[in-house]
Amino acid sequence: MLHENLLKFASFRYLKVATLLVLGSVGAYLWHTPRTIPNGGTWLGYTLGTIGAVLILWLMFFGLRKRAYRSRLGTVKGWLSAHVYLGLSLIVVATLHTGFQFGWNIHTLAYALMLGVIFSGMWGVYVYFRNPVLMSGMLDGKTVQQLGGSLREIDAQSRKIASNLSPDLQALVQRSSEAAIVGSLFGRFRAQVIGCPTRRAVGVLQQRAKAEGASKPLRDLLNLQFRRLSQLDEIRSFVKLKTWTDLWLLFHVPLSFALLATLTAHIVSVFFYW
Amino acid sequence: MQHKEDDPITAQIKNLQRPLGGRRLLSWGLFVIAAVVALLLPVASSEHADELKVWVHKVPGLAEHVLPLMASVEQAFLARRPDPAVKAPAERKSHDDIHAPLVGGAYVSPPPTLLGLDRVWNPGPLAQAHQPWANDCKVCHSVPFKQVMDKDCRTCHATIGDHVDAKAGEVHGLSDRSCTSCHQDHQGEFGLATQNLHFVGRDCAECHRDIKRAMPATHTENVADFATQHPQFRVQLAGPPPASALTRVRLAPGKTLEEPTGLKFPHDVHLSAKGIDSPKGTVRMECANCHVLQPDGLRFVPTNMKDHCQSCHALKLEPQMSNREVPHGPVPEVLTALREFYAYVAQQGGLPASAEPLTRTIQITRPGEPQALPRSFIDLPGGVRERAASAATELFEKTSCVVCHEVSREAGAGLAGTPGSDLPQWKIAPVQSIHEWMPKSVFNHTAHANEACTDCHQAEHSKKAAEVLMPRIEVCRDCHAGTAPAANKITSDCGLCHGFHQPARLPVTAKLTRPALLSSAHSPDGATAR
Repeated sequence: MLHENLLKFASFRYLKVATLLVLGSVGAYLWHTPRTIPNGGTWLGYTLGTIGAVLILWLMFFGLRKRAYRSRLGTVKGWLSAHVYLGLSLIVVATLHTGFQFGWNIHTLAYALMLGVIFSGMWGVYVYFRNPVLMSGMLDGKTVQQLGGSLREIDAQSRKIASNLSPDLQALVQRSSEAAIVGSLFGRFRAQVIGCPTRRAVGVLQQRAKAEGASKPLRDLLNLQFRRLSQLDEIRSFVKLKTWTDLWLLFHVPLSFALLATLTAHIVSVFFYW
Repeated sequence: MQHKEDDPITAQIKNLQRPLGGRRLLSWGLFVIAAVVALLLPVASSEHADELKVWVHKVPGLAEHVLPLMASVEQAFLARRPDPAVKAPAERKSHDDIHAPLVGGAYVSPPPTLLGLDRVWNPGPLAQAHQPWANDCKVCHSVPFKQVMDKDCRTCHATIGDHVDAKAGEVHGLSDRSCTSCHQDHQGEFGLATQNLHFVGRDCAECHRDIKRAMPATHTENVADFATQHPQFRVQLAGPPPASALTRVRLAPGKTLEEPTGLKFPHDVHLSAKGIDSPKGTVRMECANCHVLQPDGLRFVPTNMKDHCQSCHALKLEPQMSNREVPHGPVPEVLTALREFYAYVAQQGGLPASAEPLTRTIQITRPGEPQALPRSFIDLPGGVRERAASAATELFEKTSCVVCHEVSREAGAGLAGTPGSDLPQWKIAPVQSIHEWMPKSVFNHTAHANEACTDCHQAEHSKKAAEVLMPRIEVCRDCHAGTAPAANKITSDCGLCHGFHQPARLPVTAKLTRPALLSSAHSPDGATAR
């Protein structure tokens, strides 16, 4: 599986690198005796801080490497594997750099933003592991565009049948064909659209069939609209899962830019008031 | 299947295929906000306050709210700032190469940051004593991108002593050190001297294990560790009084150092287990009867005649009929008192009977001398002068002064204009002045309160006052190990007894722990007192 290769890439090469880095940092921290208490200003603190800052910059470079299609500098898969493991190692490296000193200042803000980036990244790995398989299973082997084509066909057939029926049914079918697949931005997070015209149409047609008796055109129309509704629901479930699969990046990337600015401020301020 | 480009379903599907948008806007937005709040505003308000104020002036509506706030914040900061040292900080070699502004001869810190906006940069709590200026960063961080300079520290700590006298010249490895080489703030509420406690010992040996490399002209011997490589103690001895020139002499086993005191005082007699005769009967004396520890636990109240000796060694003048004593003062004063006493007695025709009972007089005689009762001179033939002279001779040469002092007859008349000037004159040899025994270290007696004085000072065997009873290093090594732990011994590093800043004088505090370090930050005229 492609996504498994992300973690298993080159037989866990970058997991080993990250583990070495973490063990080395922890070992150095345990061995080192600071002049006062552990803090970012000891020689070990400066070393861990430099490693952490360089790591953060390199991790942000992934966004550029990902879009450099002609680049031969490693593979994007390899870069991503390294990005994940070395990003995780930052939790330890940066925490040791702080010497466990936290306060209401921009230094701890940078640390918190970094943790936000890393945890949103962990969320990303999780959704990229779990969701794509579910998404392919959702559509029965079809693509979303094929489903869209199917919806158009159903609309054409429904209009043809409704043209022989009452005008209110024609209007119902028309409104059903205009049904929004996803209502609003928030609708993307739910698989349901409140007041969906297609659902209404199905309801109305079912009532009519019961009341007036199920004539063939009415039955055909009902079947068509019912199929439309189930296909709409399929697309909506798919969209919901896709949205949740995309959401983590809306945190991961902006937070990393906030981190970039705060990290710069952290480094400048430490030497501004040395 | 072909379909129209503007088919709404196709359009919606296309839209839904795109990833969630807003990343770019959010990224830029957060980046700019973070950069402004965390970097640009603090830098501007710290270093470009004037330009900021001009800009605020220009923005309508902002000026009337923000400018008064800026002014009040600045006033609050300035009000809390310490007064600059009255005199300019002492010149010393350090790597301050920026000429600091002087106001009337004192160094003044740069103006505070506008609105204190740099407080977002504060990385941690300051030492307690510095917390009044916790948000006034410029008090210490006066120049951007430079470490805190010695000038900044000396604004308040003007009289902190150097480790080596500046007159001694350049010392390799020391002259390029600044305050911040050893003292770092923002590490918690501990004082900056206390925070170094566990670190001090290690640093000292760096230079002191081969001290000649750092300072070829030194008299100090190499020291690495108290247990393994520490020279025998040196004691500061004074030469003959009154010049009392001080030198430091190394103790040696089997040899007792002596220092001229001008006094006769046998410790062994006074501390005898059998007790000693006193006006109140036999008393068993102990060290604390004469050596009273001061509240700081470091030094003793100077032993003096009035408080510690006179209750037994009375300077009685006619003991058979009164409790009167001559003053323990200069010779002319004593002779005057005698002269006036006998003149009074002659005028009155005798001494009225004493209202209070006569206290018992102890007669001190040297071994072999006959016990002679003190005589009364009131009925002696001759005039007042003869009686006073006889009484003076007896006091000076037999019963009182000579017991403790070196007394010699002096020819000639006494101090002109005093009643006693026509009496025989004596000279009392000057007594040694009180001085520090081990000036380069600090010893806390209260910390050793559970030890007997005689564990370290062999006073009960001492026959002469001249004997120096200071202990050798072996005595201390009984209990104190070096920096490496040893079973049943106290792990001791350099900082336990020595301070870095000289002189390591009395601390103002009564704290017992690490007085050497505390005292270095609290010299008597230092800026802060705990």
